[in-house]
Amino acid sequence: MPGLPAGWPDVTVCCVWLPLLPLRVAVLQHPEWDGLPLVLGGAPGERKVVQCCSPEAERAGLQPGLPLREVLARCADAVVVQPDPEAEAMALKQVIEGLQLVSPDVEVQSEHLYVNLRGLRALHHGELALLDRALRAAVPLMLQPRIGMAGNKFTARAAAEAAAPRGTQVVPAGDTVGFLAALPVALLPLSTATLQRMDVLGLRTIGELAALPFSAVQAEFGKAGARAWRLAHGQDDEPVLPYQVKPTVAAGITLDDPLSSIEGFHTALRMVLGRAFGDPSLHNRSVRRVRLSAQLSTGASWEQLLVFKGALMGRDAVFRALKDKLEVPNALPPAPFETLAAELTDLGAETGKQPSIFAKNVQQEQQLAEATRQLQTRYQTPPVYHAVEVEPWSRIPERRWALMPFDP
Amino acid sequence: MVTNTRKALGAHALRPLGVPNALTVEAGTHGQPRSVQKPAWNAPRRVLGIQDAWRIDDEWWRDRPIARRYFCVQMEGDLLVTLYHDLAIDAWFEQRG
Repeated sequence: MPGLPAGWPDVTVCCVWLPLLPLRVAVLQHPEWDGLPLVLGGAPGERKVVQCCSPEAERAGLQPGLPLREVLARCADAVVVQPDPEAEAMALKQVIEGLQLVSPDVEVQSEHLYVNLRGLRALHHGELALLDRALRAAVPLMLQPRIGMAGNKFTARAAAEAAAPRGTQVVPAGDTVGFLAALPVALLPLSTATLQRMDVLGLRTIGELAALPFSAVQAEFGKAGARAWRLAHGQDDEPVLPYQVKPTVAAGITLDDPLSSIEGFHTALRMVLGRAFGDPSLHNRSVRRVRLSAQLSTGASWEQLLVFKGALMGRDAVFRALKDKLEVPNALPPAPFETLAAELTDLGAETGKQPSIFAKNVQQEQQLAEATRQLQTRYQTPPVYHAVEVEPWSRIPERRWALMPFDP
Repeated sequence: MVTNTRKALGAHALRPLGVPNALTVEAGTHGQPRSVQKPAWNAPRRVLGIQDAWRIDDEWWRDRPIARRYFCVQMEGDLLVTLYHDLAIDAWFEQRG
């Protein structure tokens, strides 16, 4: 990479910034869109305004907050990208996994990924250029990563944001204060109200803030101001917190025909949860968090992250909780869905079971479950089904009812 | 420690009930069935009368639009059969359910 200093200056943290990630992921899927004015539309249920736009779109007069219906009128070449959270998460996951090959300590903060560089010097023969090459190999070029390397996290982030597109900015620890001095105070982790007050007081750059006495800044702006002053002086001891891979159980189904009804969604959800809880990893484990995702017949994807107040055990309890949570407006897929998948995370230990007092029913259910298990072991396929309503109002008779494997 | 199982997503989990069965039908000049041959029958059976007829057009916005012309017919042997002509692929099916 041209412009990188020779050797290995005093840098310990790297920040990989992936600006406009939703738009760049769309370009990753449609390379022919690279260079076109791109705008991100709202997800189903959100306001129909531009969420973010590419530099080309900004040059054409588009900006976030503009109603989508005005986009094509202002820029006929603009491409409106639908949010695809699933593809975005997948792309981000690949980048994280790639960066973890460079360093085991990778922290994820939205579009900023921090990499701990301590201990990597010898691995790269003391050449920062080699490390830069390894980092770039982990990130697809189409995502236009900007890389900043510095002596702490805040400066590394500022360096990444100051870097040219697809470029690298290195700020050795000794140059931190000088580098930060010219940057705007808006880069500091301060609330909008605090930034407005700084603007009123004539504080525009980090250097102007750093020039003030610490006690005055702390008295005026409180704890956040004190931290900002320390950051302006290159004092940031916040460590890189390694990204933790949470144990996850995933399951899903693919449908022959897209389903659009609430009943159909509930049926598919029950089946997906049945498969997930059939996984031995979930035996006697509780669940706190479920991520539901679906591929829609429109080509878009849908995703919902649902967190429970308490740990829930068993398919039925999780299904009831999800059903309740999805009863709010715009919670369900906005179009017929072709696949439905669930990822269950935040798994906990067994919290205890309350046996039923209706012993007869329990006994019958246990017998049926045992018989089903034996048959399934023998025939390898689900031997017992039960009929469920899928789209009872459908004009097409074979869409009204379906057989669902009996999952004890 | 429970690891990510990375299980492949399953397919064809829901089995629709009342899936139409293919038939061989001899149709008249106006498209009405005159005789019907089911795979299990040795020979085609004559249609004695049409009790009802209706049409369903749906999902015209999708790749596989649905255009069906239904007939509820009385067959030889006092048999009542609901069948339809799939106009999209020009094929006949028996509808159950």
